[in-house]
Amino acid sequence: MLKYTEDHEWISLDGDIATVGITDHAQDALGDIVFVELPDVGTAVTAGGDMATVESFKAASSVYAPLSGEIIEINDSLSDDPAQVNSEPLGAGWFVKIKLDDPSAADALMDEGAYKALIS
Amino acid sequence: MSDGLNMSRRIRRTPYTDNVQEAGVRGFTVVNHMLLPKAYQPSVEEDYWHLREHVQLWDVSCQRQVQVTGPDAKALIQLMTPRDISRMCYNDCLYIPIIDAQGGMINDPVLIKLNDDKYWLSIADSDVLLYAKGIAYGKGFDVDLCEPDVFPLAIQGPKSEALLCRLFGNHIADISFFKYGWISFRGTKQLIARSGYSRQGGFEIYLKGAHLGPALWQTIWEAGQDFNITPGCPNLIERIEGGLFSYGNEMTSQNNPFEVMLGKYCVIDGSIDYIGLSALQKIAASGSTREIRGILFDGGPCPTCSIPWPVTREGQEIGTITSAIWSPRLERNVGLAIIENAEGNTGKPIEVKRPDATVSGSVSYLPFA
Repeated sequence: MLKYTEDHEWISLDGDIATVGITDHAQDALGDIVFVELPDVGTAVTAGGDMATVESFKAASSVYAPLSGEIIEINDSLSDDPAQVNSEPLGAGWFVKIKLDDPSAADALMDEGAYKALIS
Repeated sequence: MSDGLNMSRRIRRTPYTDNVQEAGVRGFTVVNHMLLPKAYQPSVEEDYWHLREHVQLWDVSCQRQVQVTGPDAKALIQLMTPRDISRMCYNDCLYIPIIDAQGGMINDPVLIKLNDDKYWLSIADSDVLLYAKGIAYGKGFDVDLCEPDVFPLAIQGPKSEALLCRLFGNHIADISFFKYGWISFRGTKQLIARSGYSRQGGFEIYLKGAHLGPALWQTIWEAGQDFNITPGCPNLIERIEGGLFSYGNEMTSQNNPFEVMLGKYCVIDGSIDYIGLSALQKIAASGSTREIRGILFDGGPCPTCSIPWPVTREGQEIGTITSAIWSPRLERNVGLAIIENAEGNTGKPIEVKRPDATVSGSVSYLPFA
């Protein structure tokens, strides 16, 4: 089950590992993605802090860490094919995997219904 | 010629101007001392809806190229921009701010890498060639600088890919956003990039050889009939809704990159050197909070914003609108403004002093939802 942030990131939780990406609503608002800059593996991220940068048409935007933890994997394929964020934002367009400091913190994020209400 | 433009040699025609006039252009503006069509359809709204659904052919020759060639080409360009261009690859198009020693915006071109010693800067409306020549001379760089015989023609809109695949081959579909490839046209090899000044998708052909211009226009025009093609030009509604800025309107040399949402393009940690580095470091350290935002405002369709309109909150001026128009999709007026304390004022009620009335509005993030 996916959880969502107000900054339009999604997470998929598997134990204490969160896979993170941006929502379909976010990619649609950004438009065609030119470039994705991801953090290095091993980077510590803080909930709400800058985690990655997405460049679309003449604009670059921050992607924020939904929860605190350590980056344990990044989606290298985005460097060659950033358009995956547009075509499969909830699948092949994922950004990073984070080993969470506190997996229970995910309970405070929105479920799909709440997120849909946010963007409606 | 209409519009009160005193046509002379100072205002340059393009290779497509004859085609544009035959297609029924209703007026021109001038960018980089060159004609840019400004309207065709009976209204900007009709032009807008067509652009969102079909395909349009735009004469954007005024996006002049500054060609930088030679062993110091990369060094010269890096000195002009705070964006790190070191990892740029062949077939990349890269959006870069160009700034002066005070951190003021000189231009916001797209940089195209042709090879390690040859680049094009596809510029907005300011004299980048003169700036580059001055730096090259002052620094003693080994470069050649010129405005080449290259005239971009844009094909914009959701049907542009299908049209160009039919004309030039299916490899067009494989060109990623802000990358370029090549097409063959009348025995010549021409650069084509997936880019353009709209958010509706499309391509720009950087036609080399002005003499080929009328034929290229006509070829695309005829093939485009099956796709409901029309002549077009950058659309003000689509541009503002999409949060696309115009050099000379939303930014001038009085603005720094942070104010126009280009801060993320600026490396200020000292790992690269460029003109204006220390200025940007000081601006960043000062915690300036001025930043561009969208403005939604009332009062029915607004007039043309030819001089900035004050934006106030609780009686205090917090910025000025530099571009504005009625959005038929949002059914409100939309504008762009650099706002003091932008984060604090976003989402807050404001007043806009239009020429005809003072009306209510609100500050919004860009692009407009």
